[in-house]
Amino acid sequence: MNNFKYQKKPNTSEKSMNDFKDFNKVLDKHNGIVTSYKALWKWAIITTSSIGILAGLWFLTPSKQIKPQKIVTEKTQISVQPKKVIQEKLPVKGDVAQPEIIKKQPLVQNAEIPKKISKPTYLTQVEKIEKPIEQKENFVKESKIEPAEVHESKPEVWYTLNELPEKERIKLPTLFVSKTAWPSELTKTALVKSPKINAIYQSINRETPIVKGQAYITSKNQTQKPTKFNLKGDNFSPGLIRAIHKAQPNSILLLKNVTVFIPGQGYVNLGDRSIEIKLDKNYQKKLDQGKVIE
Amino acid sequence: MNQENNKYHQSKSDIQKEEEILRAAMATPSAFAPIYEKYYLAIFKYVLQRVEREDIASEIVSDVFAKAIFNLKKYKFKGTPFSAWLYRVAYNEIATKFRKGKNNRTVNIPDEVWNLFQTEEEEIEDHTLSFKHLKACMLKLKPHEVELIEMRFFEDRPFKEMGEILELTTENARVKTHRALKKLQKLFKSVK
Repeated sequence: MNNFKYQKKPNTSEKSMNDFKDFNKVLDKHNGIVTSYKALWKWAIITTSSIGILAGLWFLTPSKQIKPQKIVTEKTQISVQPKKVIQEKLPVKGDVAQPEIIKKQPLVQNAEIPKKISKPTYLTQVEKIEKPIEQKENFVKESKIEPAEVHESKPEVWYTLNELPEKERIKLPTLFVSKTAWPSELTKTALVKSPKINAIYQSINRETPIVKGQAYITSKNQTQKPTKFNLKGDNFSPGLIRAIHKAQPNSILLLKNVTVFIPGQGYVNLGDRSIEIKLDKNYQKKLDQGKVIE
Repeated sequence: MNQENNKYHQSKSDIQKEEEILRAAMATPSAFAPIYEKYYLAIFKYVLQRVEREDIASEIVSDVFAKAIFNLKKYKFKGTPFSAWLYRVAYNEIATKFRKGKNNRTVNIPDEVWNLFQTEEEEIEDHTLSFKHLKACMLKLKPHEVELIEMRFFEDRPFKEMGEILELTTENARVKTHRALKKLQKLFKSVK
């Protein structure tokens, strides 16, 4: 099928056809084509070169990175301080880092992260624990820096909490407890159904093994130290699971010094984590029905 | 075969002379004038066969020659007449114009078309074949089939030239033309 127009062929003489003959008109049209072609090429070259220059500038200019802040926490009696927890004053507009300021904060010199990361930094010897703590005591006095997140140590409570601030946490593998990342509260059902703890680099989906740590079932204002459960591997120990079962309302699962082994960096302390244990409806039902022995 | 189409079959010396003029025209467009004089009427008739009026045809013809001069550097000398390449440029130019919607593709049907439907078994005695009847049959053909019928029966072109214009082999052009004609004859009988 076609949509052509059909008509009877008109009688056209060669003379009338020759009347339209004009070679100058053809040359003019040709010159017009050449001019428009040259203009097209000119604009194509300009556009391509400007895109190339912009792309080159974009690739060559380095991106500025914001340096991470270092945060310091107070000395603790029981737990070992994570090596990376260092704090400095936030920079103020017009405040230029001068050599004098750096001298007043010798902590910066001592707490060189690359050196410490390269060696296994998990402390078991008492001497090693004492030395850094002593140094840090001095630095706290001299620098007058406020700590980031610290539970005020009341004489009644048996523990102190050293949680890493979020800015530090970003660099480390994500801690998952019962499949929840960095939880602050979990239901008992969740803890019992999935008694797991692991650390994963989410961006590359790579798990790093937890080599050390302690877990306690305690309450917020408890004065007596409860039973310690060691953390090793991905799963809670049976004793810890039993303790979770027996946990009263308003109990907390306190994880202390959760340490992971990162290839290339060594042992890295993820800090502490306090997880409030909530008694959910399902668990309450089971409790009422006598399925769970307290 | 008409006189214009005799130009397709040229001697080697003519083709060689043509080649010299074309090489000069590649450097100087004004040197193309002899070629323009030689093929103007043939191209005009080709275009006029496919458009409504002469003024539309003249515009298209001047565009054809202007583009031919502009693209002359792309022309490859194969020892064949330049006319085939010119017809190819004209074919593309007409297609471009109709695609843009400025003009309608027109088929100018000559008076003596009754012989199209003459077969070996049957002779058509009544030559007063109605225009409407033929139009109805041709409307049912595909565009390339109309083109083949037009070139062979309305313009009396040799199959070799048809092949070069439509970028087919000679044999292919012959076979396709034969099929188009058979289809038209079948349509004619069904409408009859």
